[in-house]
Order: sequence, then structure tokens, then C-alpha cells
Amino acid sequence: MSKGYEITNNIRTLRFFADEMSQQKLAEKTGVSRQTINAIELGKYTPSLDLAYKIARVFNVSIDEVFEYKENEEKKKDK
Amino acid sequence: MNFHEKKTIVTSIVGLLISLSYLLYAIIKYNEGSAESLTLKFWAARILIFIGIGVVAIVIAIIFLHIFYSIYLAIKLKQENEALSDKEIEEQISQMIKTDSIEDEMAKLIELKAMRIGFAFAGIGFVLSLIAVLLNYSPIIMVNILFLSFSIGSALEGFVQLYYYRRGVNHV
Repeated sequence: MSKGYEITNNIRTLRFFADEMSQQKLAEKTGVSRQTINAIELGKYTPSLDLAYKIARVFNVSIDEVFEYKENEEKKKDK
Repeated sequence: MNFHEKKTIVTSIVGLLISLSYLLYAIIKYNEGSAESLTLKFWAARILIFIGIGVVAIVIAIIFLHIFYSIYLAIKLKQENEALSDKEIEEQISQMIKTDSIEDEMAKLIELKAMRIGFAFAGIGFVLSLIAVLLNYSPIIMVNILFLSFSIGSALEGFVQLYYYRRGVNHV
């Protein structure tokens, strides 16, 4: 990931609107472990493009609606 | 704590215990200074025995971990929903363990990063063993340093994995 930028996600919100889908269920649908979904939600892991698309498809939304690539606070302060 | 972390803890601790018991054994045997313990053949045999013990101990530890983890999940599921039948609990446990122990992209990335550190440690051990030979220490010392650096490096790999599971990991 480029310095000064971070990838955030809306997975928690999307799960909520998907009838409070559990992390376990999302993990099963995307073929990864529950821990990986948890790590992505907490911003501890940035998924591969392949997994990012799989997650977006589960919620039937575009990848942009799941992930956001934005400047972090440090970078904003530098400006 | 997820199943990968539990498994990593168990295998690393077992690996570390085996390494430490070998170290203790090697120090005692080396200090005894018996004629038998001064041959490379003796140490090669002992190292092979310890490798065998290590493999068997790790397999047994993982089997026990699966058993205890399944019992823990069964109790937890029963407490959460008493109406569940044994068959349903069994199915849920098998599904949970299956999803928890998937070797997905994050697990592979963590494994790769940890392996790099483990190899670096083993590499340092290799250099140290060569230095020991240069300093006129017996080849027995060299073999022991090599074995210990590889086995401790392997245990270290597990602890590094644990660190990455806790802290998170990025592709860079």
C-alpha cells in the first residue's frame, strides 16, 4: 500500500444490510476463513483483488462500494 | 483467538520444548566427554531420534488440540442453543473447524513472511556454525549449532506467525 494512503471498507455495514450476515457466512461464501474476514473488517489485512471482487459479488454491489482507497490523516496534515 | 493461532501456539511450544530438551541433553552428553559422544555418528543418530520425537509429538499435540477444541465448541454451542441435537452440533463443529482451518491467502501470506524470518535465523546459525569450525571447535559443535538453529528458527517462525495474526499483515 502506498505511504499516506489506506484502504477502508464497508463490510460491516454491508453485512448489516444483508440481513445481519455473519462473518462465518461471508467467509463460507468467499472461500476464506472467518479470521480473514474479521481482519479485513478491522483493516488489519488488505485482500487481494480476487477476494475483493468475491466479497463485492456476495453483496451484489460494485467493488467501489465495498472498498475505498483514500488518504490517511497524516497525509492530509502534510498538505 | 482463531484455530490457526491455537495450532501455531501448540506446534511452536512443542517445537521449542523439543529443542530445549535436546539442548539440555547435548550439554550433559558433551560435558560427560565419553568416547562415544565424541563421534559425529553418535550425534547424527541422536539428532535423527529427536527429529522423530518432534514430528510424533507435534502430530499428537495437533490431535489433542482438535479433540479439545471440538469439545469446547460443543459445550459453547449447547450453551447458546439447548435445542440443538447432537447431530446438528456435530455438523456445525465440523463446518466451523473446516472454515477456521482454511489455508487462505492471508494464512499463506503470513506463513511466507514468517518463513522468511525463520530462514534468516537458520542462516545465522549456519554462519555461526562455520565460525565455530574456523575457531577450531569440534565438528560436533557445528552439527549441534546447525540443528538447534534450524529447530529454534522453526519455533520462531510460529511465534512470528502469531504476531502477524494479532497485528495484521499487508502485502508490502
